[in-house]
Amino acid sequence: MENNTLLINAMPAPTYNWLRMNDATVKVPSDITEGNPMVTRSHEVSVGACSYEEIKDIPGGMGIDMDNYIQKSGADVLKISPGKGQKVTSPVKIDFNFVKDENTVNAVYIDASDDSDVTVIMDYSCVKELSGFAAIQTKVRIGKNARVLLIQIQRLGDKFRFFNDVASRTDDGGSFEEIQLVLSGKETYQGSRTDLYGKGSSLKTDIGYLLRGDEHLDMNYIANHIGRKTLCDIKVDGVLRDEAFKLFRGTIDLRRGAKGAVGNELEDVLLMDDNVINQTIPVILCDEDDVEGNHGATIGRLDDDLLFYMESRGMNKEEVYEMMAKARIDSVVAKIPDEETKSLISKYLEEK
Amino acid sequence: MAKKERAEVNDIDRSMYDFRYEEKDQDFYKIQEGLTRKIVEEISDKKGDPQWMRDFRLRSLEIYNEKEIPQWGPSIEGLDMSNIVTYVKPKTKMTADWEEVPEDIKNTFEKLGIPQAERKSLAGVGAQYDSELVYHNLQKEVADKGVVYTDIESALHGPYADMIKDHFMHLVPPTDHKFAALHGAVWSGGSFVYVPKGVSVEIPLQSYFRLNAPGAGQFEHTLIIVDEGADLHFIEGCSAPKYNIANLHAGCVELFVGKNARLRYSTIENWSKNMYNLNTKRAIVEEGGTMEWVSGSFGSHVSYLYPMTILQGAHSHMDFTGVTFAGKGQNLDTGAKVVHNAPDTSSYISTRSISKDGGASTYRSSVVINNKAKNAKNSVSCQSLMLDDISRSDTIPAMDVRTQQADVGHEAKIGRISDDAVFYLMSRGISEEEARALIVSGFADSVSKELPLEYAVEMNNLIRLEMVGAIG
Amino acid sequence: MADLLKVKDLAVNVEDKEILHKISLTVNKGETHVLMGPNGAGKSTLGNALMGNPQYEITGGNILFNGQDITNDSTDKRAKLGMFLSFQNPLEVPGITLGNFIRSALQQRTGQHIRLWDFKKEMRKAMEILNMDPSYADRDLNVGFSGGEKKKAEILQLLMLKPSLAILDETDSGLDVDAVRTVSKGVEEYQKSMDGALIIITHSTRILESLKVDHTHVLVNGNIKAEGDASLVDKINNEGFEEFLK
Repeated sequence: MENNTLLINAMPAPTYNWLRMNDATVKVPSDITEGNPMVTRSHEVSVGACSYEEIKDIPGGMGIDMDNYIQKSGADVLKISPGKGQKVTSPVKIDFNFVKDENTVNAVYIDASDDSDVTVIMDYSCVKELSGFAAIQTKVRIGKNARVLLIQIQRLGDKFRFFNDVASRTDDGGSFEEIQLVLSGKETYQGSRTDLYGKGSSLKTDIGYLLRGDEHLDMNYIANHIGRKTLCDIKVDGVLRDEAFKLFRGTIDLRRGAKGAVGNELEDVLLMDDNVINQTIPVILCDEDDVEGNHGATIGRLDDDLLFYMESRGMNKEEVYEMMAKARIDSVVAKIPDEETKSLISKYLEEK
Repeated sequence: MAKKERAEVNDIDRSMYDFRYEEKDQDFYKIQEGLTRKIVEEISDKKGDPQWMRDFRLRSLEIYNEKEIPQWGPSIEGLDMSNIVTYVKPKTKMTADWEEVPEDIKNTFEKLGIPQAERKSLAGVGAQYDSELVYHNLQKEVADKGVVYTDIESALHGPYADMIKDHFMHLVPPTDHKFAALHGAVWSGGSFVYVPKGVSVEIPLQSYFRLNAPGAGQFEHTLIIVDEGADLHFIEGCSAPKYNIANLHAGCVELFVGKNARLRYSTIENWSKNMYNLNTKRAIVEEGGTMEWVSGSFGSHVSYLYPMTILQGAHSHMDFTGVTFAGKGQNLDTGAKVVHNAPDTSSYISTRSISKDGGASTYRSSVVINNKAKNAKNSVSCQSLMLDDISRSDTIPAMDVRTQQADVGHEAKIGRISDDAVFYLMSRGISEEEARALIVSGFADSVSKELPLEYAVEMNNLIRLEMVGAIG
Repeated sequence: MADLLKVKDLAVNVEDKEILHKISLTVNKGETHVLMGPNGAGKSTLGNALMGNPQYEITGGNILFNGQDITNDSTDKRAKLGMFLSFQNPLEVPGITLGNFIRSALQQRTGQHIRLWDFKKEMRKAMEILNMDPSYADRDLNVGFSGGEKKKAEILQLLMLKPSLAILDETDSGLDVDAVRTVSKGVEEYQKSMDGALIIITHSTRILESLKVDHTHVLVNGNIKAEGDASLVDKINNEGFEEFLK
């Protein structure tokens, strides 16, 4: 079996090399096949296939190596394209349930025409103990005043290697919302890049992760503010247990000309055990004065005041920690507007 | 509504730093440009290095030749080492008597206010002109307590030779990065301070570095050892006149803070805007010790400056307060690094940066909490102010936390002067220009109030001069 | 009658500074005590110290609850023994609904499973007393609640957890007249139907209007300067703290 090496998740503005946070070099298999997801949708929206050429102009969050890897795989691109003004009332569901020990690649394209509205839920699961590999790339084009809500649930096993890449570009007034949950996986590399071209367009990202054992999660999120009055709000809530490792890179790039843009990013990480490793690098690049950029991070144990408040109602420290860990994930789950998906997640978390 | 005219904020008036007395080349010993083994050997000969130092220089040169230029940070393409003169020795010996300093050099420092400051409020002063110290003096009362303050070269041959050998570039080894290796090869000048156990130096010591020769590099080494329970405030100031060719500053500062000791290290850096300031500063702090940094970066064409603190002992602590002001043609990449290696350690970083007139400032930092550092606390707060839409301001903070028992908090804001704040001040009868000026100086106030008076005044010279221009 | 709470010579430090100096106080079962004093007198410090907030260091004296020395007990243990503190600034906890929070707290305290149906019924009853919209039960604890709603949620927890001693720390501050009335109604319910003892920390007297007060303590600069019955409240109401500052 021949192996390829990819340079992925590179930060737009790198920093000290010795931290080893600038990017990731990973091996990917070359004996790959196209995965076979199950698509559930109402008749409101058309689903078809297209070639990678059609989405080449939307650069992926993981970087050019990932784009090339997906394109070279020759996989068809699954295309979901709500028409102009079409408000798709029930979510389109794409279920990836991996059952075989094989390496799969998939590409998804959501092409939301002007004034359309669609919710796409991608669920990643596998049979217990499966040690497979999958690379999935989702590209989103958002027309004028269109809205796309993309929900991705990663509930794979702890032997699975997974690459999940998202990219989008927005037209005027378009809004992209993504909710992502990473609940397991031996090694997960996740990227997301949004180019906010359109005036008044926006990005809202909510990420929740819960890692344990020696699970490894490496993320690279980029929001490029190009148009005027563009907004982004990136919120990350995480829980690390045992010897889990997590690296979050988040870059908000307020480019010249993006007058009136506002970018916010916040990561809250609750550390449950003493051998976890947490790396966070929330970057703001700013080349424009009429903007606002804020970022924050809190990492570590629970805040003393909060702990005291909870304890004063009769819970001991361990109980409070367990409750808060669950609450972090629950607060992200609560944002999912689909009961079926919510109950899948609760069931998965209870069994885990 | 008509678009409001933005109050013009003028460039810093540098005339007080740019003056330069005419010098004739024969007044100086100058080594040829570039960097070769021969040049390093020649510097070593000139300085009469002990053998170990000569070997150290040559080993550093090898490391320098092997190391890559960093792939991050501002461009240093304009810096061509083959054009940099690494050693310029003024034709004078170091003295402790101000009257003995040659007239030209004396005038230069007098114009910068150095001897006046010494008389007023300093316990000791060192003044370096190009590659060598020209003046070093310590108050008798302080010397009597056993405090040592001298140039490194004298220390290398004196009773503290072993102490130098045990510490010199141990904290910042030449392998650290390319310019640390360069420093190891061609270092010259700088100060050595030793504060013995339990001694508290009530008033600050100060070293002033002046790089006067065009196309030259300054590579001074500062080594400070504050022994158990001792206390010191050390101030360094730097300036240079502006030339059209690149100058290089690659100094190295190594600070050893003993058990329960305290060291405050204040810097106002105002190199000219042709300077590449690639300076490395690092402190290691033992149990219960405190390291405080106050750092103002105003000058230089390009700066890479991130004072690093290693909290090695339990209950040790670090405070960093910094302000960076990047104007036209400047790309200042500054910040701080801290490594928590022991339990109950704490660190606080607070920075302000201002960008104007096409200047670029970057706040860059790293906070590392190792697994041993139980109960470590760290908080970072950085704010950036953009004064116009042609400037740039980036924030690149990294955090690496490896224990559950930690509290790490980070917050950063980037924005411009708030219209509401301007409106509020104007509603009380203040003009828009004045209002903006007030807000900018208030923004940097958290740093200037940490400085001793003389330096706060210098910083005011730097910030308020431009505000006076604005009020006009 | 056995003492419910007996505080003896309690000294408390905050950040190495002594805030309370040798405070002594006894509260019997079912009694209502009022702790008054100007800003900065140390009233909240006493509340926090009684509940065992680790940021408040007890440097002397002891606290007995039902005859048991709890001076060094953890906060959750004190809560399980029947103490309750209503916070001046209740914390926002995203991801945990008010209802789930109270139910888990109750289950942990009693060690028994509580049937959802019974719980909901009781909770609805308590919310009615407090004029709270039942939808609050499904909202995240204190998240986005107004000042008044937060205080009501504290009293709701009081009614549901049924402690034998409740310390109300400035529960009336920042509330409008109607909200104060509602909150007092809840507190009255606690007094009557649960025979609950109270320490009400306040610097105003509005919350006390409809409540039966047994004892009043005036705290100034970390010392109890005066003690009396309910009439002392009226006196302070008319004359302020002037007299005790001397």
